[in-house]
Amino acid sequence: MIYRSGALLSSAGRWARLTPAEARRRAFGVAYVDAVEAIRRELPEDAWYLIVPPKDFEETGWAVWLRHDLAPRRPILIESRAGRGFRTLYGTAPPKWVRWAVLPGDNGMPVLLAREEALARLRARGER
Amino acid sequence: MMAGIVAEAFAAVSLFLGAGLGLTLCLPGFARTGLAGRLGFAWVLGVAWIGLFLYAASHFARVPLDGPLVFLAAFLPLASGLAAGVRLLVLRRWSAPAPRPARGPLWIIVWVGLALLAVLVSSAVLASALTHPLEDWDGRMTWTAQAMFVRDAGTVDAEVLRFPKSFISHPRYPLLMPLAQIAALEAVGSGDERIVRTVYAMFFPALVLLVLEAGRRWAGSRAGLLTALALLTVPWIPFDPEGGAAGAYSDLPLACFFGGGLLLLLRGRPRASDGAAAGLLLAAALLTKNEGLPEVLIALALAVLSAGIALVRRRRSGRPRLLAAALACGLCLGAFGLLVSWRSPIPNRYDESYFETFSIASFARNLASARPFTTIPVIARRMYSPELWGLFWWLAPVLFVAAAPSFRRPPTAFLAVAAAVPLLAAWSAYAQVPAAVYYATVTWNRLLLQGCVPVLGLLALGVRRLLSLKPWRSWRISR
Repeated sequence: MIYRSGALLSSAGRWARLTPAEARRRAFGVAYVDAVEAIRRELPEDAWYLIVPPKDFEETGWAVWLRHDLAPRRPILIESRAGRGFRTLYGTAPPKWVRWAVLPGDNGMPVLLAREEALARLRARGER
Repeated sequence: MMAGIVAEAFAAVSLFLGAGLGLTLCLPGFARTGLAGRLGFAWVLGVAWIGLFLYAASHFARVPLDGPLVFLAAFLPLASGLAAGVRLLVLRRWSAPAPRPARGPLWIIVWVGLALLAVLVSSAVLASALTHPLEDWDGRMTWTAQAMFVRDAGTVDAEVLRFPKSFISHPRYPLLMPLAQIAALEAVGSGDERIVRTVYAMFFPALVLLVLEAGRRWAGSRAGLLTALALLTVPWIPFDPEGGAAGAYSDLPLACFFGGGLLLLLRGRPRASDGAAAGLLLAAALLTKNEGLPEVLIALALAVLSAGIALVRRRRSGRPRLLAAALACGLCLGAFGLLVSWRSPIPNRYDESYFETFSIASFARNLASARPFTTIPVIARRMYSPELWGLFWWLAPVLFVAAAPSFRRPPTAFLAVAAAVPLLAAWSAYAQVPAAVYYATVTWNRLLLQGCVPVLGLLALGVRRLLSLKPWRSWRISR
């Protein structure tokens, strides 16, 4: 316990020199944090957005991590339902009034797009 | 830069600690509690009070969740506590705390060792909280996310929780700890998650103090001291981000609320104010996690049972016990009403839905099946891992074999029942879910943690028995 406490204190000493933004970059990666910051600047705090996760999102936590980092912006998760297009949890179409969508970009980092542009990009990738 | 966040975290901690100290001054049941026990109770009572106040004010009275409401919540107990303290000083009724510290050079060394180790481990956890971002799974998935949504909406009845298509994990999980997060952030006008991490980290020193107090009350100062030292040798509780004090899971707060409530209700002759404080803590347990419900029910049942036994045996403690149990039951009933009323308009989604798939028939069938037994290897691996539990689960059974406390003597049997509840809940859950091994891997340690105050209470009773054994006593005398 003494050794682990000492190790934790010394690690805290090193991290104390970082700003909160630098600490987040070190913890979560520069590319991810920059992508999230770009979305936060663009998307109003009271906005709703569609979140379109990659296939392995339940294992990686992609969607839940992103939801936390974009909060209090309000997410509606949609997934591809074999030929029936993108659907919400209950198999219904996503609400028409939601204007934004967040999805993984080419490098896996999240990008914010207008809803129609996002859906067009997903169709182009062969996801529907 | 660090000075700013340290000052803000200090202010947030003072909010809860000040409110809790005010409550311990108002409630006469704490008059003979020592400084250590009082501080432990002050932290958990402060969080419980402010969380419950905000929950009820927001849901029933539709008051916006903002800074003025948080200050009002803290001001009421703080002002009452100050008035009570001044009154006690003026009337010269400020009684010295009862606990007689263990004497002798050996015990003074143990005391100093405990204090130094507790300060070192707690400082490490707090320093980590103040410098690292939040990285644990459930904290980010559920508890802090919910806090941000609710804070933005200014109400616990946030639209995002009630809208069926919104992507919210476990939207019906109770919100007491997210409300504690909101209170801390509103108090200092910040959105910095390091303040939130500090609030969770503070539950570790609170747990150590509660265990010290529990050991002292149930088994005496020396046994309490050694039991608190035993707690400080378990690395998992302070250092693990997935359930321990280094994350934002709700299991450690639940352990403190449940354990604190039990400690007050199982007093030999509780006062009415003990019942009120226990009710506050158990109500908070109910509103902290779903597992709080069975734990609270058992704590109340044990309180009623102990009152019943005392009444049947015509003991003088019968009526005070009954009154304390009735007060605690009343407060828990109110909290349960709040939970049901808040929860009913929220459609469940993105949740394991244990209750939706539950039926007595399938439960009975699964309980008798081999499925929960498949979790034994993973449970054993976790309990006997020195990285997680140190040598605790290797040595505790040896102690019980060497010096088992008498189950006929209170409160041993009650503590054994209370300690078993989270484990029985785990066993029942593993019988229900298909991926039992996976669930055991991610939940077993946390369920052990939830019942750690009664488990450590039993350990304290064993330690007391051990200290009273003849060979040990003659060794002590010869020293």
